[in-house]
Amino acid sequence: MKKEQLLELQACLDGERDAQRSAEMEAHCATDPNLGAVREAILNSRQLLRQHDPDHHVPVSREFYWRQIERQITPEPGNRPTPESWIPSWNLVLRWLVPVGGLAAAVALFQLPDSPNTPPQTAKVTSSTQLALNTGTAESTSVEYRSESDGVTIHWIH
Amino acid sequence: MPEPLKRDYPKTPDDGLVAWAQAGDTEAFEELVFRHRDKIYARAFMMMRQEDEALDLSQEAWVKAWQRLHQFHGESSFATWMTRIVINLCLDQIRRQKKIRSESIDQLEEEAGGVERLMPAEEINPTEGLEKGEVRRRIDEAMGKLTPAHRAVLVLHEFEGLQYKEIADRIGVSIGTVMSRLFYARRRLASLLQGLRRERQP
Repeated sequence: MKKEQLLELQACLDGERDAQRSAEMEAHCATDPNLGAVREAILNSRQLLRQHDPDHHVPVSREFYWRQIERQITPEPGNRPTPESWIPSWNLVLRWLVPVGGLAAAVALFQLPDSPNTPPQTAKVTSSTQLALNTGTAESTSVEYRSESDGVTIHWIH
Repeated sequence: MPEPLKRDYPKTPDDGLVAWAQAGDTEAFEELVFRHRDKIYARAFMMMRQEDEALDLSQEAWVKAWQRLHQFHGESSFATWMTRIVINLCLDQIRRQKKIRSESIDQLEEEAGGVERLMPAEEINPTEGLEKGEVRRRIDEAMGKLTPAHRAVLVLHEFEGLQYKEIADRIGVSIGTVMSRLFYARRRLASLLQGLRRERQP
C-alpha cells in the first residue's frame, strides 16, 4: 500500500471527499483485504476517541480560579483616580501659577512706555512669593520694577 | 416602586447569562465560568499536557472571552465558542515554544515513510473488555505520549470536529501535512494503546 492511497482512504472516511470518490474507495476496500483492515482500524480509532474524550478537572477551587479571572476583567480600585490624588496636582498648579502670574504682570508693566520718546533702557524685574503672615488665609505676591535710568522703583503687591 | 427581581444565575441557561454578561454583569459571567471551566481546562490540558500551563491558558481564555463577548452572537453554543478560544491560545503557545514545527523524531519517521510501517498485520481492539473510565484513562495516557504536533491535529479533528482545511489554517501547515499527521497520530495512538494493554496483562 502506498502512503497516498492510505491518506486518500482516510480522507474518504473523514468525509473530505465527495460521495462518488468515497464509493469507489469503499469498493476498493472490499476487494483489497489490507486496505479493508486499514479502513477498520481508522474507524475504530475514530470511534474510540470520540466516545472517550478524556476529562480533566480544574485542580484549584472555584473561588481561586474565578478570583484570578475577576482580577483581570474588573479594574482594581487602586488604579482609579481618587479625590485625594487630585489634591497634590492642584497644589502643583498653585505653586507655579502664582509666580508665573506675577512674572507675567511684571512683563506687562515693563511694556508700558514711560514717555513717548524715551523707552526704558534697563530694567530689573524680580519676583518673589511670600506668605501673608497677618491674614494667614492667602498667598500674596510682590513684584518689584526698577528703572536705573529713571531712578524709579515700583512695588506691586497683590 | 416595585423592587427589581433578583437574577437567578444558576437556573438561567447559557444564552441568558451571556446576554447579561454582555451588558457587564460579572456575576453572570462567573456562572458561565463555573459551568464550563472543567471542559475548557480539559481541552487546554489535552493540548499542553502540563497542569500549570493548562490552568493559565484556560484562565487567559476566560479573560479573552470577557473582552470579546460582544463578538459572540450565538452562531455556535457558548461552550464551543469558548473551546475555540482556548484552543487558539494553546496553538499560539505551542507555536511560541516551536513545538509544532520542530522536526521531532516522530515527524521525521512519518515523513520518511513510517506511516506504512506502522500498519499492524492484524488489528486487535486494545480497549476491549475495559471499563469506560479505564479506557478514557488509557487514551489520555497515550495522548500524552504523542508529539504536540500530532496531538494538536488529533484534538482538532476528533474532538473539535474541524475539517482538514480548518486545521491547516489554524496550525499554519498544508492540508497534506494535516492528513499525514492525522494518519500517523491515529496509528501511533492505536499502537500505544496496544502497548499499554500488553504492559498491564498479568
